Amino acid sequence: MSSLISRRSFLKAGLITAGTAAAAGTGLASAIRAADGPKTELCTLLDLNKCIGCEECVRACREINGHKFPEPEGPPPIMRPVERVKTADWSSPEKRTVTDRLTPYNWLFIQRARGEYQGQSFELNIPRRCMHCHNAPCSKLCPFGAAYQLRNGIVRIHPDVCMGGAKCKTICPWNIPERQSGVGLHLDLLPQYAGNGVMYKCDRCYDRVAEGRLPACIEVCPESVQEIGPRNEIVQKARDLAGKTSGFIYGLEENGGTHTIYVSPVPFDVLNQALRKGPGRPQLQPVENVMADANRWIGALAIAPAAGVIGALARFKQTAGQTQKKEDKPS
Amino acid sequence: MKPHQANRLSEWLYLAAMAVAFFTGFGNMPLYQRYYVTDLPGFGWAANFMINVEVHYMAGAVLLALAAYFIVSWIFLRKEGLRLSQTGRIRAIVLGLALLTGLAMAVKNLSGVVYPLPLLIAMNFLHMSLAVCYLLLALGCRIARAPWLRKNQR
Ligand code: SF4
Ligand code: SF4
Ligand code: SF4
Repeated sequence: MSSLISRRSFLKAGLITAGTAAAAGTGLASAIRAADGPKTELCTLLDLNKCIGCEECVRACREINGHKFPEPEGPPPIMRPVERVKTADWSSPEKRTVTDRLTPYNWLFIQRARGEYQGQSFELNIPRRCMHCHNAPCSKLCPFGAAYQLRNGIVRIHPDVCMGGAKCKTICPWNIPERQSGVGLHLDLLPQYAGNGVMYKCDRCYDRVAEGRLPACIEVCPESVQEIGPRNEIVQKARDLAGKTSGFIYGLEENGGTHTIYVSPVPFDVLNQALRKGPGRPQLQPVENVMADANRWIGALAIAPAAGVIGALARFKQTAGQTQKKEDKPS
Repeated sequence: MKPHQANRLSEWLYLAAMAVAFFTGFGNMPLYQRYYVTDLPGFGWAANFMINVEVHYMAGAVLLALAAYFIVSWIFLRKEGLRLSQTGRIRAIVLGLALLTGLAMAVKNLSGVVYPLPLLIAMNFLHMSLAVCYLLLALGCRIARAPWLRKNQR
């Protein structure tokens, strides 16, 4: 069987929803409908051995998702305090063309890694975008619920709800979401004093997926670098591929598990060394589960009421005892 | 522990946990760095969202324990003819709902738990607005010296 999940088998896998999302208008309504999909977590496998760096995927992403890109009506407002808040404006015609990093207008880029491993030189192209984490801190801790997860595991930032505070970017281990100032809900609230635009990132073509179609970057790739399917199947394939090619895996354990698994012939620490990193150009280091420490407190939250009940019972037993003693005393 | 000591301890715990819960609650929004709060000596940690959420959970756990403590106490006190005052009842409902929505948000943060978007937005909005309502109510009642309890007249 071909290692690529073809469009037909993708559909056959039962991953189609009613396909109503696109038809039913834009904004919140369609997002909600898409979120009603089956709870099969989708995962992608990227075989870095195959990527030739042609950037067809980058072009397709920009084309297919162009209608989701921000369209500011004029320059962003002056943010206060001026020395503290940086605006990010990628909307000029020149900046919109940037494709060598993540921007609000470029949700996928090819990161090049050149170096030497075991005495042999290598040159690898790594498609980089949101990892769609299983327990995504960006969505778990978004204070407005703007970053949210669909039942199929896709993590999306809703542009009508996002305030652009960039908390998601701060807590994302790869600092993926990118800000465009001068758009979004905050302009209708306190534009200068709270919020700062909208955060943008790969949404795994959630609308196409809801219709049972492949994400654009996967569909157009001439080398079939990526495949998508239920997570357990993709994990198995990634392990098989790594076993067959003596390859290395990234994204399986990172941040407690993601829905993006890379298999590379070169270890990821070597790749990470070879990368050009910085704003819009994420690292490839091992990543601890960001939510793990916070989630340990759930136990404390669960037993806290029991502790309160025991405390109150103890106190009133004592009071009752004292009252009883008083009553027993002959007056 | 004597009853008056228990009262003082629970009141002290309540005030401290409330202060921490509100501080870290607002700190869940990216505001403190913007508005220099994290520059204050001793407040640098508030810039770290992950520490912030853990401290919020700690305060939440103390408040949940106190809520259970006061509910059981109230059952005992009813027997002694004490009732919740009108403002006490309103405060109890608002605080109870704020705690429950907070708990629902903590559950949502667990791995594998996914709330649909409308529920997620509703929970965020409700938790935030209930907490702010409670803050205003509690401050108002403190200023007006409105008690939580009253003696049953009948
Ligand atoms: S993933 Fe495919 S389309 Fe994208 S650069 Fe690599 S080979 Fe080209
Ligand atoms: S990679 Fe970052 S932006 Fe994407 S889901 Fe994970 S935490 Fe969120
Ligand atoms: S999945 Fe869709 S949105 Fe994400 S990088 Fe690929 S084409 Fe772009």
